Amino acid sequence: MSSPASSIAPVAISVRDIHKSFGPIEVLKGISLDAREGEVVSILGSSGSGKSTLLRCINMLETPDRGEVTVAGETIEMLAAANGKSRPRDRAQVDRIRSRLGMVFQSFNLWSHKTVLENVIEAPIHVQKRPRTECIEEAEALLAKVGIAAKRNHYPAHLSGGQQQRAAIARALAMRPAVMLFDEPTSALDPELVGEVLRVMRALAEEGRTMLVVTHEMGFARDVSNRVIFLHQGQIEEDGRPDEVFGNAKSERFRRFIKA
Amino acid sequence: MNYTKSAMKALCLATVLFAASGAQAENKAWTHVTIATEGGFKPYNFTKPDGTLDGYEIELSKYLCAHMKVECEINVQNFDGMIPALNAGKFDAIISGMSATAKREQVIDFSDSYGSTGQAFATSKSGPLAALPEKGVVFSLASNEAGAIAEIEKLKPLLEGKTIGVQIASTGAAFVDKYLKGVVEVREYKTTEEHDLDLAAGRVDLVMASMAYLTTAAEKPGNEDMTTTGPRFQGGFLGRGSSVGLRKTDPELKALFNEAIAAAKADGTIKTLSEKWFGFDVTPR
Amino acid sequence: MDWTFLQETFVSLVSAVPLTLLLAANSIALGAILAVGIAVARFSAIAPLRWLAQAYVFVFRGTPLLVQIFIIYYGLSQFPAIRHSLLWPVLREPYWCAVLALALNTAAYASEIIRGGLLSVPFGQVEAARACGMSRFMIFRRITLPLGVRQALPGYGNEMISMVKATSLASIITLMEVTGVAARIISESYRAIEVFVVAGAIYLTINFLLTRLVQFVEFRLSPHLRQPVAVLPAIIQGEAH
Repeated sequence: MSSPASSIAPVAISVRDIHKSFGPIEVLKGISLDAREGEVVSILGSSGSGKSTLLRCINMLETPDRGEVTVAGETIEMLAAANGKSRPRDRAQVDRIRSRLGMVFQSFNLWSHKTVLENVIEAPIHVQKRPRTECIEEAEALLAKVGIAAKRNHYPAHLSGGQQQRAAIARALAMRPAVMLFDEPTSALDPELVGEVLRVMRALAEEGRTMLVVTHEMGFARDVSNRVIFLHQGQIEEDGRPDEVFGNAKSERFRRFIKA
Repeated sequence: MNYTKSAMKALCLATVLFAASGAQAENKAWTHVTIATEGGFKPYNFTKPDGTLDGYEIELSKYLCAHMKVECEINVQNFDGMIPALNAGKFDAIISGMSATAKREQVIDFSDSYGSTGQAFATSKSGPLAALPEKGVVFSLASNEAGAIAEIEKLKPLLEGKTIGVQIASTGAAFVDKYLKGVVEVREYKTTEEHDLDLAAGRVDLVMASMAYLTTAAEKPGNEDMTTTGPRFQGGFLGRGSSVGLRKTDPELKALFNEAIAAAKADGTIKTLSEKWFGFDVTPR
Repeated sequence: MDWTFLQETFVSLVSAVPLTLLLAANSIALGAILAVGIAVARFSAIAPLRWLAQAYVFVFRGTPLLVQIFIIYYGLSQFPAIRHSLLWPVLREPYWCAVLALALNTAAYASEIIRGGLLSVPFGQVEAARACGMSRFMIFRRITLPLGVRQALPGYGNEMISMVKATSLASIITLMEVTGVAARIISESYRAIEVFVVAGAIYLTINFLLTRLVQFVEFRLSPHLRQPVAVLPAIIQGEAH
């Protein structure tokens, strides 16, 4: 599925030398990675490899101890804090950059007191200050696209897991993000519901969206993404086109990982 | 229902007993009278550290007994049980700061009053009401109701819009409700001490309470700024004042006491004794 | 049964209901605002603010309301400095002293109820809001508070009922609300049982209505916890699996 255009397209997201420790455990040991516009990057790794943390460092849900994140050309300014770690200089800048990144969580995290439609229009109206009617129109189109237009006035608790995750994807798309971040979007789903979410993600990839996907779905990584990264103990161990990585992995560990 | 019935029975029985004990006392030639007093109600009556009794009523009793030419014995009794004990024949008279109220008069008889402190106003020394006219002048709702009402009418413009504190359901509250409603704003307090606090704080302009209370209250620490003001009212629905409590079956004794009290009023004994003990004249009018 | 007396008592007590309601409504409203502030302070990153909020709750929950009313009404007025301060026009009035004491008291309890509600908000939903670029304040206003309040509502309903009953203590500072009037009737008539039964029935009625009101608000605020209403067939066409 590799798109020939991706190698010359501008860089959508750039991560430089990200370090992150939780207490004494160093989870990320200096990760650098560029994703170009239209690129779909699957990030694989066993649990504890740091793949989710990497994704969460990109939108500052976790503050990296060191390193730099650039989204669509804008670098998040960091300060050195007293404890030697870094923190963002300007919270407003972080908020602005977050609004350009669409995040999809493993556990959906839809706002339970709002209907599906209200979930989708919330941030466009209140964060991006776009006109309400425009937001609703766009939200309805997005809900139709992910196949849950009929559930627009339902509350999250009344939806199946697959429907909730598709609503969450619509919510992220409503921000017109430069990059979509998926944090194990199918891991919390019953097996029979995984397909409907992957179909939506595949459609997004096909329309040329930039996506970073932390996943365990080997099929998706192999067939949909145009780049696969394998993390092990906080470092990148494999990085390449899916056919290269899956066909001819350099690392013994990755070969064992895909067999398991 | 059962409860009511048995209560009624008890009441009937009690009435019979009272009547019986009363019958014994009938037509008695009085040479010896036993008087009950509380012995702890200053300045009416109180027990001195050496155990002997003193106070306004004790001194007055001595005068009354001398006048009636009877031998008196004054015993200390609990105030709460005095009325049933009187009717049971434990003693012959109550002289214990007891006001003659309609409710009590259903059960026992009362002599004429030997002391009425009446209701008075108190205000702050520095306040504008400290100079109310007719300070200390007594107006009786019993003997000269028209004069009392005329005096109230004179006070009204001076009290217009002021706030007055009274103890809830007290005689003062009844007075204010009857004569000053709509003229003053009334605040009702659980205790008289509380309206004194608010008088000191300036939340009320005036309080109304019994003159006896106000005189002692003004001497308490914290009430240095308190002073009685304006006229005093007594009689009528304010109550007849303190009277000797007697069995209904002893009209002769009542007549003896009334005669003695009249004499004490007439010769100025009540005035002298009350000025000594209360600091002001409590002669009923 | 003396029906005439009961009827007269009822009429006198009902005339005091507006004051009871006014006391309850004002102190609950004022207390709720304060409670949210205290609950937020309990989560503050600034330690002294947290301590202050904690101390406040400790003091106002740990002392009887009666004592608080007495201190605010009779205690504060002892100080000439307060009598000459700008606060005096408010503190002079028994009504505002009662509202103040009741509000300060309920704020302590309500802040704990609200804090519990805020703690119950799933962290994932807050994180989702953060990931959308919402500011802290917007997250609090749009996500945490509405969710927390829904959680806190049943407990808060109990607190409101307690407050309606607590207004009865205002009678000790000369306010003639229902209990104050009841006390006056009793000291005039010596008929405590009848009067208290009527007063009790009035409080019961107020709290019955209040309970229903809270239930109604709870119902309105919690559509997400109910079964969905039947979906119109016209919309169902949009469904694609």
